[in-house]
Amino acid sequence: MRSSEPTLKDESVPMIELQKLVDRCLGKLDLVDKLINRFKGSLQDSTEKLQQAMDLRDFVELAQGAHRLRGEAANLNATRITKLALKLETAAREEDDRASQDCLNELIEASDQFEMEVRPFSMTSNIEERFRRLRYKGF
Amino acid sequence: MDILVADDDYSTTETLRNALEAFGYDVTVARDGTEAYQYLRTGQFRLFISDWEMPGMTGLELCREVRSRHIGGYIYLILLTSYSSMEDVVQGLEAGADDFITKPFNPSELLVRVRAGERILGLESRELTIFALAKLAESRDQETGAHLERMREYARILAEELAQTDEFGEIVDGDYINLLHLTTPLHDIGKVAIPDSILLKPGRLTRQEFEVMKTHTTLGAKTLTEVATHHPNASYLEMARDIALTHHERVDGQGYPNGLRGDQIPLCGRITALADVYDALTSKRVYKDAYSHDVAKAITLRNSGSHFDPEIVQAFLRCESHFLDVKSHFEDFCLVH
Repeated sequence: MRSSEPTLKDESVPMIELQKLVDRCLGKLDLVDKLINRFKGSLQDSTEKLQQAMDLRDFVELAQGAHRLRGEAANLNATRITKLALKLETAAREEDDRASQDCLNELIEASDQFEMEVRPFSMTSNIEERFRRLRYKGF
Repeated sequence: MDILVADDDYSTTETLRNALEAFGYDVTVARDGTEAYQYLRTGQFRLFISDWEMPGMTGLELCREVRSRHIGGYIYLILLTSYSSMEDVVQGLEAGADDFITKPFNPSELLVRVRAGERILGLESRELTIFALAKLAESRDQETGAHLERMREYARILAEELAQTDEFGEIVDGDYINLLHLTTPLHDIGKVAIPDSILLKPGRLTRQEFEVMKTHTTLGAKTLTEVATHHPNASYLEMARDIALTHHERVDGQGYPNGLRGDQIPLCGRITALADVYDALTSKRVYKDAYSHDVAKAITLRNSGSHFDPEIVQAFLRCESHFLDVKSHFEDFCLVH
């Protein structure tokens, strides 16, 4: 694995670039909230499907699934997941068994981390306060 | 303007919807390619933003389908993609896309690209201008109300049928069909220069009068050539000129104004000849009743190889049910209006 590629330990790759997402939603915070929560809710399902494709060595499905996840994550500026999904997509297109599994493991860890880090954001009823809390966490 | 957005990713459609509505557009969302195609077939959407990869039909497949068929007016296609290599761009353009937006999109860029699409679509007002001009010319004539509307549809049907053949498939593509549909109504534009005493004469024309009448082909072509010379970007006028000049030519060389034979007559002229005559035969005139489709068909067949190109007559036979649909549609239209 090349050292320049993102890993969970690489703190320079943010989990989510919130301000960019807010800008894309033209400042509509309730939409931002809805999108993040929906993405969070679908992450586990997405990674499970990727693991199924990996188990079957179905690299076409694996690449397509990774591509789909990359698109969703990119639109949310979930940067770390976006980059890891791209790595997985590339490895799957090359039908690189070992690299694909390594990437998928990283992606699953990143997804878990995303769910954990975003959780406090979702548990606060006041949307403005949710954003404040996320910003306090450095997003 | 109502914009159609197609993407299987919820977050993308919702952010696009939010941005486009904020910019003052109405938005309809399709969740896959098949649904998008159904929406497009309604003819209600002029601007379409589509994801590249989708279930059902991909963005590329949708582009190809839209460009190969005649669905209402021109549809401006923007592909939304995370692919951005030169090869991808070329592939997208070849499929018929007009522009690209890279994921994740930037709202300001989105607005600029959509506005550019609107400007391009505005150019289609040229069609309305052309048709108004053709209707003006027709208003001096005795031909029935929807002659231009019907014959442009007949010409389109023939062209679409010819596009399926080995002989014409490489020439007749979606652009050719659209151009033919656009310019066929100008075939008789030269009649504006024919004196009323001849154009509106109820009885048979004398030989001299008929010679004057025949000049509507050259007069129309001359006018269109002059306009095309002053507006070199209006290349569509070249087809209009060919049609105006050659729609009374016959493949046996007995037509006018130049007595051209067979392939010497541009394909658009040969197609228009059949569409024009079929409509004249099946329409009521002051000097005759409308012939039935069967009679018009028999006359058309009898003139295959003399007046009409036999390949085009064969195309007519293969799609005569579509001719009847058009005829029936405009009869209903006339009853209602």
